[in-house]
Amino acid sequence: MTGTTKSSFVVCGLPGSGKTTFLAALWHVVQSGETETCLRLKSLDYAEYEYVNAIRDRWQRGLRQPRTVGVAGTVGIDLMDEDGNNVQVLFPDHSGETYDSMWVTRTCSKAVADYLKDRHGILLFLRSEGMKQPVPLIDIITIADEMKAASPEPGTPSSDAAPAPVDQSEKDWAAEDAPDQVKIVDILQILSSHMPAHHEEKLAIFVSAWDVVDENLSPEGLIEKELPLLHQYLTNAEHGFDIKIYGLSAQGGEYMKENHEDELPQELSNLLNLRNASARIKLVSDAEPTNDLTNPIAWLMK
Amino acid sequence: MEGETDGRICTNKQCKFAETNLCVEANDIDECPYLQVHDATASEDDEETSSLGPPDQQGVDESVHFGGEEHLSVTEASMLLKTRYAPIIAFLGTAEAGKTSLIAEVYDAFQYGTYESLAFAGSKTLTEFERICHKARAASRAPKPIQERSAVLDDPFFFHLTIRVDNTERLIDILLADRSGETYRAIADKPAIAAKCLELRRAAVLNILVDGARLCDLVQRTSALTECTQALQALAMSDGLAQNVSVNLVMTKLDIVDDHENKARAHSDFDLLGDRVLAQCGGSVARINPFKIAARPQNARHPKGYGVEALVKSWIVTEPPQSTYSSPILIGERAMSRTPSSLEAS
Repeated sequence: MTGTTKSSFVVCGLPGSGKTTFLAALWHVVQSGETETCLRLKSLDYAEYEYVNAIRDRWQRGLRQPRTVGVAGTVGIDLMDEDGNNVQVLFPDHSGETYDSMWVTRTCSKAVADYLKDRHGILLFLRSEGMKQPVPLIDIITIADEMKAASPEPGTPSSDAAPAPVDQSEKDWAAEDAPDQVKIVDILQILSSHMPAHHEEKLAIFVSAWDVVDENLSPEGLIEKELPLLHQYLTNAEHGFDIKIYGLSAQGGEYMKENHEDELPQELSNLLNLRNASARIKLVSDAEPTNDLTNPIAWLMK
Repeated sequence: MEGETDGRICTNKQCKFAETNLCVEANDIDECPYLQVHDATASEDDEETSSLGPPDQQGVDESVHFGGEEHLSVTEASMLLKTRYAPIIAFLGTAEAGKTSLIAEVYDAFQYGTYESLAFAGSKTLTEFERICHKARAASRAPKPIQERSAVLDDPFFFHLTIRVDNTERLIDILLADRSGETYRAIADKPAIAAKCLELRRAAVLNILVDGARLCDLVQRTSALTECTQALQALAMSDGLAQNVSVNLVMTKLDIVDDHENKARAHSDFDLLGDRVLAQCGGSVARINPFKIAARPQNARHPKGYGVEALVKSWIVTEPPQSTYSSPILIGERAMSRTPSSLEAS
């Protein structure tokens, strides 16, 4: 057995990508000991658990995590690996807006920069659905033209007449409207170029809400299909990251309404009825699906 | 403080003088306007010492800046070229010929994964690429895809891409040079201006853009054929082209051409243009490579980015061009224009 080392990990992703839900579920898995895990709780030496208990409570009750503002809290967990090595892992829970703002303003606070530089690995979270995608304008125009041609209304002007006025005014470019994959590539470029690690570092990518994804897709396949620019960057750039991609359903299904009074939907009821709440979790990678959320942490620490 | 060597401090934020002992603008260090002598005996409260940097670099504002808001300046492109070779891809074309549409589509196609043999591996100008792509995206709510015109600036500006071609091991950096079409028109009127366009003299690949829409127009077709080549002729006749420069003749707006009643003649005009350009350049250009593209089609005749991949592959030049330009004096507003630099060095 060796002394305790400290490892701080960057938990990054755009707003709503599942960072806080992951941390809540991780704490449940480690603290409850319900399931076999690569890393086990060693002690409660970290001493400050108010924030992580609060988000864990919401997770246990099936509630969506509130949007993080700034840095909500730092999750610290004292773990022990299979060989008896002790490590205190730290995950400052920065808001997705922190990372969005890095793209928009090209700056971050010195405190955030210090945290980003002092990292032992990166956990990047992506949404499996609802990502902001670039849509070619010509595609919209073509579809509109085809619809107009297919269903001319009686008495309306012919198709070569002036189009009906559009009720939306044109929108000037704004950096915040950029496709999500561009912002994520930019975050990774900043980390690898402006704040490079001193050695090859590990990057664990989590595609969240994996329970709603087509089961024939792999996590990497989804990124290749839905986020081609990011996929090309990950597979071609000289970023120095050793990468592993996971599909993650940390909640297991749909969320409870905030002030629930009606009968629970069946799926949610089934989830909350599970003997061990850890069984809600599904982590998919190139290995067998698991609910051990310490598995990626153990990989990041290798 | 940006850099300090032998008691000298460089106040140019772009310069790595402290690390390299070299001026990013290739100035003689005794004459560089950015270098200041640092008095080591002065106290931290000394007014002269404390005024070397702007207030936001003196601990008042603790935010960390990543840069990358805009395209690369000449200085920034020079810095990149000091670290690795990147072919400069230049474009000659009139204001509406489609330069910016082409540059935007070169990047945008990576977003959709439409290239068969090209893969994105990074960019220092993501923000600027996004800005020029906006008007062709649904998010703009524009009635049709249009393109903002290049800014009228004294100096050229650069877009940067790192790409992998055909799954080969080596990554390629390319610098896409842009400046306003008005400047290129000015070259036709005053050929001496060509000598000041250092991105043209240093280009590994020159793309002459021929506006396909104008080729279809009876009134404009002759002007279109003349204007697109006159700047190249001015460069060639002043020995302003690199020896092994590769020249592409690019018909833009193929979607409009192929939808037009004058389609056959427009294609014929373009197909004959290559030989005419070779003759005009008097041996300075060995070969012309023709391309026809529809970068941002306004109809469904061709898919978005039609022909662009083949054009981009023609830009993959791994050997620096050999400049034949010998004019020793370039008077410009900026230090970059006054002195040799990486962009100008052979």
